[in-house]
Amino acid sequence: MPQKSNPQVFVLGWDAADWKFINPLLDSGKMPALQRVIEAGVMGNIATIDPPLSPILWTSIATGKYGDEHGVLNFVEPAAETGKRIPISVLSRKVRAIWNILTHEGYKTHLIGWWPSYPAEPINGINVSNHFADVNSQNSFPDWELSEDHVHPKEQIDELKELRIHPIELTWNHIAPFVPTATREHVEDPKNHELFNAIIMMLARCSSFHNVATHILATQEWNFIGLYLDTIDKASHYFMKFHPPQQKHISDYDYELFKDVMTGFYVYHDMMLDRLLDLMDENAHLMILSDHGFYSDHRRLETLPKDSMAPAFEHSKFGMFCLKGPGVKQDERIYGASLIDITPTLLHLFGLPPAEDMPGNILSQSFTDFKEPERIKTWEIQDDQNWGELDESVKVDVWAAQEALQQLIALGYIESMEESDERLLDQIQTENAFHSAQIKISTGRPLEAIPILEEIHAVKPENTKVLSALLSTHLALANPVEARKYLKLMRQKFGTENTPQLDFLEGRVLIQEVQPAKALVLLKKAASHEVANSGFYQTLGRVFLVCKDWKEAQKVFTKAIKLDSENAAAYHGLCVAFMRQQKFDKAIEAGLNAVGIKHMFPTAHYHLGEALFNAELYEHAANAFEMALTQEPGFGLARKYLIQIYSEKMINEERKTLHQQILDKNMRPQMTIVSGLPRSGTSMMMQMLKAGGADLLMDDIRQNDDNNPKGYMEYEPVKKLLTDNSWLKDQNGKTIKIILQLLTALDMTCDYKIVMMDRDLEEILKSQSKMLGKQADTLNLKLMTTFEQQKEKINGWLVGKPNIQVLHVKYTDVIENPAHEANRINLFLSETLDEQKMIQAVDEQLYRNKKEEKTI
Amino acid sequence: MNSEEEKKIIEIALSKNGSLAQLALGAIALKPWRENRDPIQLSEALNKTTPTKNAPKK
Repeated sequence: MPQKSNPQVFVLGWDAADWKFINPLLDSGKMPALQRVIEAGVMGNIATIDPPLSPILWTSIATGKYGDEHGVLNFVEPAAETGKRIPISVLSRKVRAIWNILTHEGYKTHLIGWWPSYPAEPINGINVSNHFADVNSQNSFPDWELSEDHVHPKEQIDELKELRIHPIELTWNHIAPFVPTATREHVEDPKNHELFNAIIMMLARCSSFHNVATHILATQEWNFIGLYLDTIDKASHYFMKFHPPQQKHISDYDYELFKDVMTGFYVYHDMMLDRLLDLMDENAHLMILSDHGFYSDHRRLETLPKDSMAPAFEHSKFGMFCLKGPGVKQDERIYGASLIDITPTLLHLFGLPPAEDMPGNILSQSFTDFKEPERIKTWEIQDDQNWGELDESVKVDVWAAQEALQQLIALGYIESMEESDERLLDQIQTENAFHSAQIKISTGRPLEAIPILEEIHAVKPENTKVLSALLSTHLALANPVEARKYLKLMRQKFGTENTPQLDFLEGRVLIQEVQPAKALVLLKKAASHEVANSGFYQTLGRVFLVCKDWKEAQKVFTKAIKLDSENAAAYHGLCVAFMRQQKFDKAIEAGLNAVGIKHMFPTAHYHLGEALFNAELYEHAANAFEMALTQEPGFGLARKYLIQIYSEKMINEERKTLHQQILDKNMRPQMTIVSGLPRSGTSMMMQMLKAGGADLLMDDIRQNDDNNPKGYMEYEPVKKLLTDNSWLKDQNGKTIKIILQLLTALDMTCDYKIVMMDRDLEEILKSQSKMLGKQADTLNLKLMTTFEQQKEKINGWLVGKPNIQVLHVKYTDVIENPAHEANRINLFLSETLDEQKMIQAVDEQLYRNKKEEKTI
Repeated sequence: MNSEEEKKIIEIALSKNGSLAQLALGAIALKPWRENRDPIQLSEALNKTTPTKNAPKK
């Protein structure tokens, strides 16, 4: 980014603004100012972060950190002195925001209404807090006072407070564009007062912040201005239900009266933007973004559940983003932006480096000429310079804050409670912990989330949200053992309620337990219910794919798409379902839809490539595979296809060699491990696998005996695994027996599929005693406890290891139903074995056992 | 800003989209707007539901 001596960057936050709503307005010329910005720069979707709650998200936008790091985790916080619940404040933020960094770097930095920004931090410019324009019963027009902690610098307060517009100042002509069909009778009808009031309150509020922005642009030097407007979000919560097309539950009267309100607010935002553009230098950078979208179509909810997160259920996963200015590409779309990328991108616009402790990236696709800068370690450095931060002694005005709380309650963001209620602090802490866990799950750190969720579950076992989160997190970690535990608790909690959802979840657990037949029965039952949730059908479709029921998968993916035409994952699933049915044209169409909706989607590009390859469109297939590799360089399967294309279809020696070299260099050895406690049936499993055709790594050092007449099938170096595991990487494709206690010594640069033998501990100890020549029925309880602990520890260690897949096999199941278990094992090992021979091996074992029993 | 400029801003606003456009002009148009406020008030009933200094104190 070429550096100007006097950079100017204006960040305009439009909470909940959504391209899906904006696009038709752009097409009909109702948002001409935004159209100009788009044409002059780049635009795209921006992915939100779960949970999509605005104070958390806007703080992530401003700090480049996730909520569990920056500390703003809720709409409310407990006041330090009184313990009362107050709206979230800057005091909860634990890290520096972009305005602190820019202040430190000497830039003229102004901040308007950011959520949260109260009390106003002493930055190098004007700062008006998010409560600057609050209207309440204690503080009314014309004596509309404003306490000093809402404004920095304090000497500006008299001038700035006059820029606020009180709702009472607005006239009929102001609200007429929002409700063009309204008459005086409508306005005077008490049942409409709440909604008419909402319009004038929101209009006055956003106009007040807009006035401050225009004042700063017209009168102040500036390098950075951050203007945050919450109006589109608030208006959407009130009025999106009235937006066309008319929903069944909306009366004709309400529809006719309020159907234009949402369009009115978007258009008004465009009018304000037009004014800002007039006042801005043409060479200034302008970034407009939202923190999430808002459903405006058939996904609008008729009623919201009673839940602290309920309003967030109306938020869609993608917000809007656009950027224009010097060095920014023109009229182009960018892909893969996330809220966490904004701070690094803003720092880049100022020629400042992002920090290593910021997980996001500079949105490099936006720039014509981009060179990745070297990151500094952190911006959280201690020095005696001015960072524009609050003095630690600053306290918030709890009394004033209570008024703002009422508005959050009215919007359904927080529950109305007796403020003296002792549950308050406890509730805030629990919610914060839960939100922190959600953030960790949604940002690829599920293992960190589990202890937090378990802690909440321990004190609030009745909390079904936590149970559900634990279940889905363990599913995400492919840990069916723990997932089943929480499923059982949910079944106990709900009884016969929510059966389709629970059947669906159990179906997923069964899939991970490699029980596809049982899973299919439950899933088909779940699918027979009408569930208006695209995600439900999308996940269901994936399960049908695992079960290789391509037609059923096609059916439910189609259903998912019908419910949400922007569900890229459902299009991707549909692509795979069509491809497996050899319907390549349809697979290509679905694949193109998937990557069209979500460009950063390497597996979708890969499957599109596979469909194109099968349709003999090799050049297009190569492009799709190359794109998959650009997005995920470790995508070995895509590379294998490219090697085939470049060596057989469209000869390109150079590209072929390049991909082959990368593949050879990065190929990870993969092994099958048979594990379990000693005497849990590991030797029997080795025999099964050997009979099935597996390539066993074993030696004859440990000879067969009466306990294992067919041999132990062991490999001597395994015993020394704790001190030397260097030999493992040379065993690609082998099957090795390694007891449970040694698994932590595996070489983690290799991939493993572990067949874990589970056998009743009592039986194991009896077998071990017998083997050691001891009295078989003398149980050592201490030993039993130790084994149980070891098993638990190792099972915990195995969870979430990306290079390890585990299949639990019960010894008794193998004995009782060898055909079923042989099928599970074969499915787990990618169907490489002869199941009949595996079954035969168990039968022989059974025969031996019976013979032994007779001789005892 | 002199009175001529003020007058011009108001004229532009009024010729474009009426009161809303005038509001969107921001701080610069605030003073003249307040001085020449549109006399058509919202319903008295509605204004009563908007918090005012006459609203009951907590």
